[in-house]
Amino acid sequence: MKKILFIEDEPEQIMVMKVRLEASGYAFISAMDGEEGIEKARGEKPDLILLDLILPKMNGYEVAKRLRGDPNTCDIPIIVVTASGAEKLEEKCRAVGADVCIRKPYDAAEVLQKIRERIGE
Amino acid sequence: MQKMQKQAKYRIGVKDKLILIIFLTALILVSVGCSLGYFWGYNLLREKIAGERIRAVKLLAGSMADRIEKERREINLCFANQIHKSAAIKSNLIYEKMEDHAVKQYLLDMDKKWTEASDSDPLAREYLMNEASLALKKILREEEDIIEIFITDKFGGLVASSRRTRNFYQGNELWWQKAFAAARDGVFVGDIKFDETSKAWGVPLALPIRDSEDNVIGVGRTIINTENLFEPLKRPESEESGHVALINEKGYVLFHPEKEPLSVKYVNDKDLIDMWGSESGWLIADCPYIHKEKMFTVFATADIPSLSERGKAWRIIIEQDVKEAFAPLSTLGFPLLKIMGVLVIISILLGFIFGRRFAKSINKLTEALQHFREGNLDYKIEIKTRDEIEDLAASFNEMAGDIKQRIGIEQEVYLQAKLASDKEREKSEKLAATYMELKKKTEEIEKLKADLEKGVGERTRDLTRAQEATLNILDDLEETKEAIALDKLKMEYMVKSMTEGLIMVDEYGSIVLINPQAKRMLGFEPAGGVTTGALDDKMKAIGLNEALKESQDKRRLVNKEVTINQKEKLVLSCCITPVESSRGEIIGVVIILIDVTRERKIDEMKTEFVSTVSHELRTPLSIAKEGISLILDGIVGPANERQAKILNTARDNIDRLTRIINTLLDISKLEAGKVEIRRDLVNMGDLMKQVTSSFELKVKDKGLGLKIDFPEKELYIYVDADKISQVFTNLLGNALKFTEKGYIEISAKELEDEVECAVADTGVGISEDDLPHVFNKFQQFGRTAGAGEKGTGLGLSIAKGLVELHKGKIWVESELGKETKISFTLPKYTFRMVLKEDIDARIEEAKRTYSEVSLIVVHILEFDRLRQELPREKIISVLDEIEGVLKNGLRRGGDAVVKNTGEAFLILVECGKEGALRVKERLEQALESYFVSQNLAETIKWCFGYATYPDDGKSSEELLDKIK
Repeated sequence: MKKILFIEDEPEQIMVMKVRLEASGYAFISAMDGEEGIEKARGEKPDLILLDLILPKMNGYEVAKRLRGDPNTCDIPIIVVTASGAEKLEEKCRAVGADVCIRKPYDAAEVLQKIRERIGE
Repeated sequence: MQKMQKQAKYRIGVKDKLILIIFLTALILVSVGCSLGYFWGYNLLREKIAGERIRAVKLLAGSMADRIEKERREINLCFANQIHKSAAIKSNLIYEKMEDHAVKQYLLDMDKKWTEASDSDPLAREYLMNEASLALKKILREEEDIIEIFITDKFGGLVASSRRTRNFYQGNELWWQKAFAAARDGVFVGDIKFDETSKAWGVPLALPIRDSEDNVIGVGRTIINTENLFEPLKRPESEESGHVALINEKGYVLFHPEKEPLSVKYVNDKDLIDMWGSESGWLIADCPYIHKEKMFTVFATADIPSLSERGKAWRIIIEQDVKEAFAPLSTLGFPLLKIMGVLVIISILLGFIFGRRFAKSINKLTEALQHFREGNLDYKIEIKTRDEIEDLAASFNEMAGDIKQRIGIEQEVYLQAKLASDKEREKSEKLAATYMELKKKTEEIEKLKADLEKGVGERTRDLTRAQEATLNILDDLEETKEAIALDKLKMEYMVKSMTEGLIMVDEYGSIVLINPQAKRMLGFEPAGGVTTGALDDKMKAIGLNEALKESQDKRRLVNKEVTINQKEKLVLSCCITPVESSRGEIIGVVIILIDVTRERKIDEMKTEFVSTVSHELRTPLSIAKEGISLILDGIVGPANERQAKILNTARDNIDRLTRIINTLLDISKLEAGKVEIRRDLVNMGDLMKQVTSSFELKVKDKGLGLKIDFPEKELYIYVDADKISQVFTNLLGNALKFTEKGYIEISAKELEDEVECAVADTGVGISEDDLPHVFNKFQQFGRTAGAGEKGTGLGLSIAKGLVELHKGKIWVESELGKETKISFTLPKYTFRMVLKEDIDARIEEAKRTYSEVSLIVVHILEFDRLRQELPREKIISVLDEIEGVLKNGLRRGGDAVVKNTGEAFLILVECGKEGALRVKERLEQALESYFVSQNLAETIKWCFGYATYPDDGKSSEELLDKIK
């Protein structure tokens, strides 16, 4: 079973995502801030990471950069899921090594499709 | 005075100069003339002398030839004697019965016997004492010029001789063969020889002897004494002094009064060659063996066929010492010198006369000037030279008159001009003019007047009148000045108390006025002075100098917002207006500075607020939407139909709210100027088709028509595809929403420098009252929307913002209940303009943040050739790859790639020279390895260039220039 790590500071958001992903047959783990996210990514070796950008302790860009800089985690696909309305978000995400960027409120079908494209069922 | 004296030291008067010039000219002309005359005369004379000599020498040559002929005739006569003929015939009989070789043998035997025999030998006696020999001896005695004479038979054997010959057999001698073979009157003339027996020089002559039937029966030979033969040469017919000589073809002397024959060569080989050329002529010969001096030598060849047919020649020469021969030439020089002397003296005299006359006129002028200087303007110059000097004198006289007349007027005008200038100066001065100053001025004028009175003397009366007039003017001036002072005071207080900064500079950039607010805003001490230089520097530092120039150059108002970093950040809105004089000249610029720091801060806060709020709103919306979706998707258990319907409505509204938030954010960014457009070359047809395709289904569902009106020609323009798509989407969305029947039409047409696009519908239309507000935010009026997505009321407002970002215009035409057409224009940009706009935008940003911007260009060499060589798809893929490589070089959000056919530019923000160099190297490697992998390394040649703001240039233009 493919394991997905969701780094997100909103517990409710984590909750709905967990229901959705587990229903779709993925193992789900989560982290509430950037540092914890990196730790979990190293320890748990998830197959894919969903990453929010606005996080306590360390923002999403920094997290992505660190994950990409670490040989243990550099190959894990990252999908950014954010409520940010910043300009040129996609470019910025690519710049730090995230594969794709999804804006909140997201369409569950889109999220699942992007995940499937990267790691399969 | 010192200078004058110094000049005088080197002075040469006009007179002297004229004399010198005429003298020198005459001297040159006379010299050239005389030289030419001399050489021409010299040559003529020489040719004449030579000609005469040649005639003489030709005569001599003729007489020489005659002499030989005379000798021949005489000898011929001798041999005509029957005794000699019989002796020859008799001798010939011996050979009658002999074979040819026997004849020869006989003769050789005889020759041997002859040489061995002594004088008393019978053989010798037989031949020397016979009848014929005795006859010959008799001839020898009678003719004193003959040294030897003998006869041979027809085979060369001796027949008779005047004396003992060395050989018996003569047939193998050249003279014998020649004489034997000679034509009828032929004579053989041999080379001159010294005859030992007679101790004299002789010339051998040989002739054939003929019988009565004219058959040659033998040969006769004589040696003629040269003493007699050359007799004619000893007494030249010419009376000239000088020698006559005879030389042979080798140049050896045959006859010379002072030299033995054949003892010396008369001429050297060079002169000999000169002689060969012609029968007769003359030359100056070098005769090293005879004379020390060069000799004038005239020569002619004696016409002796016997010699010339053997390539030999006798040349008669008359020689004379060159000096002696050409003595008449030396007389030529002296008269010429005399003529020269006379001419030169005449020229000096002429020079003297003209010089004096000319100098006199000039002296008169100088004298007159002295008079004028002393004030004697009545002096008249009297010059009658009928030339320019006379005209000059007349002008002087006229001028003196004019000056005299004008002095009076000048005094008046001077006073008035002085006053007028004072007035001007007073006007521009600050408010300091007082009565006291005016009084002082009057006193000055009085003093001036007194001075002038003293100077002009008799014009005093006129001056007094002028002064009175002036005083009247001064009184008037005082009043005006008071009024101006008051006005100026008011103005100054006004300017000082303005809240806006105010600066006025003249056309040269010098400060005319600067109020304390302006000083404070620009960081100067409000109470202190500001120099023009300091202001100039400040303008440059904040980037206003270009705007200043633009305002002056284009004669229009220029608005610009600048940021100044002082103790705190200050944002100034600058309004620059050119000041024109009444004649339309730009005489300066007025700059008004308005502190908009607070407004900008509020704007920023607003944008930030909207941004934050939208983020904060979207997070709960996201959770709500996903919650509803989970139920609707049945993941947490099934919902019944009614529940699902309600939940669907809720989700749709969440989406609507999301859209509102998004557009709100968009418009807030647009208003804050945070939206940047990135122009790419876009195929407008493709773009419009793409946009309409997403509407096709909805339009069809509503039963409407969808028309696309598009020019056949492909239309490419530089726009931001996403933004223009959004504009079309917004407009089409609106049209769809408000149209129930009919059709929607989307169109584009190409104009000269822009493209005009439009979306028209046959919907409800907009009332005339509402038309002006169409593009305002949250404007939702009259038009009742149908089913489908609810509007946000921001669509048109955003469309307007986006079109304006492209420097285009947007407008609406509508008729209520009938139709609505929203049109917008997009100016055509060239690649260059896009590139510049992109670079300049980043430079502006860099100016604000004091950072650097680097530009890297990849240029594919010979791109046109590549286009022909490689398939189109290949080129496109290569270009895409290059773009990909460049995009990988991007590091920051603000970086950009701008590509053109065959070249691409990479703009790197916050990147200095070193960074640019690193990026460049990385890109080079990446491209290199790409080309190698594609086997294109040999086919595609490319080059890189880079430049950095502010090191390499301050504007896009300078950077692009640098990079070329």
